[in-house]
Amino acid sequence: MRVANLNPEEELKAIEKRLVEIIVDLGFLKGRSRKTSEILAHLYIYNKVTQRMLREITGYSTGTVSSTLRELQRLGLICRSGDLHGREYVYELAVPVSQQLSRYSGMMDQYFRVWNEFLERLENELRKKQLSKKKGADNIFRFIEKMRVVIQASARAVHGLQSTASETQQEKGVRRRVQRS
Amino acid sequence: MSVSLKGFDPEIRQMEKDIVAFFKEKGAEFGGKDPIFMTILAYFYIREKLTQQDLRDLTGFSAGTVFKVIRQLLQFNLITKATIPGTHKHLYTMEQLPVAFSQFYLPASRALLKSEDQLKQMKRELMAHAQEMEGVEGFNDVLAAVSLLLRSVPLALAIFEEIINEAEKHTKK
Repeated sequence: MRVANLNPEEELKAIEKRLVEIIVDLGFLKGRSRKTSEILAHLYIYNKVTQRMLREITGYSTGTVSSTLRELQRLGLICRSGDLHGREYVYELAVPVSQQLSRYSGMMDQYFRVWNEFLERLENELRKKQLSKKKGADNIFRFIEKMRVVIQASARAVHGLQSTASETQQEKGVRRRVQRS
Repeated sequence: MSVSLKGFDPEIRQMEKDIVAFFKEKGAEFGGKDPIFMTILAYFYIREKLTQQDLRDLTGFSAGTVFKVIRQLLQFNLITKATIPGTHKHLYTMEQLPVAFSQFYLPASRALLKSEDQLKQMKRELMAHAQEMEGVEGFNDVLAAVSLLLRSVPLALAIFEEIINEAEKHTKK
């Protein structure tokens, strides 16, 4: 649907604004704050941004933009890639948007392996150091058990999908389920 | 009654700190998840029942920061809130897994489906006015971002569905 009286530039801006809102909503599922998701959204859209660009687009202060970018860098989500015209730093996603999906699938096995190793190490430590009877040990045992369920379920889910020929069937299943619930 | 912070043996408390650090680090590294959110989530996985004061003592976070994450976890249905009898304090309890799975992933799936509809609509609008907008700076970037997100949604939905299925199988065991 087209909003009346908008020129193409304004119309594109309106769509971009809605796109940013969607990315902010999805970022919420990852526990991200609004400003972090908003800045990340502009990186998704424009690939490369400067602090000045972000200040202009979002209206956030220099301090907010700068600290959010620093935090995103620390998390390894973005990198500072030199300076533009010798004056300003350029920030870009550590992994280009176009490669994120395949990278995510590729990383999952590593993720499950790292977690399984960690849980095994925890369990061994509890047993070897005879910590089983110490106060709080039950909580750690329950944590290990819970995380095993989470990791195993996620691993089976990802592996099941990787071996499923038709993604469409899966998608239909979800839709039916969500609509039923 | 909330779990006493002093109730953990020092060696177990150290293990707990290691777990929280790992949870936070891997959540950020593999899922781009917020470290403060992951820290508090990790404490719920371990301690299960906590007050806001417990969380402040355990994490060193401010009252405002703790409150913000608590609100998110409540919205995600990952924790529940109850008043501690005889006080004005609230005790927050993490839902048992895999119940928490379904309670989190079903609303998340709904949110994704809603986003998918909105993205489809945006793509239709962009394509319908492509000729007029093509010369506008940022058109290709916005179109590429919308298209990519649209491609990602079915995969994310499928993963959510499988996780719920697997969690349910575990419940039936």
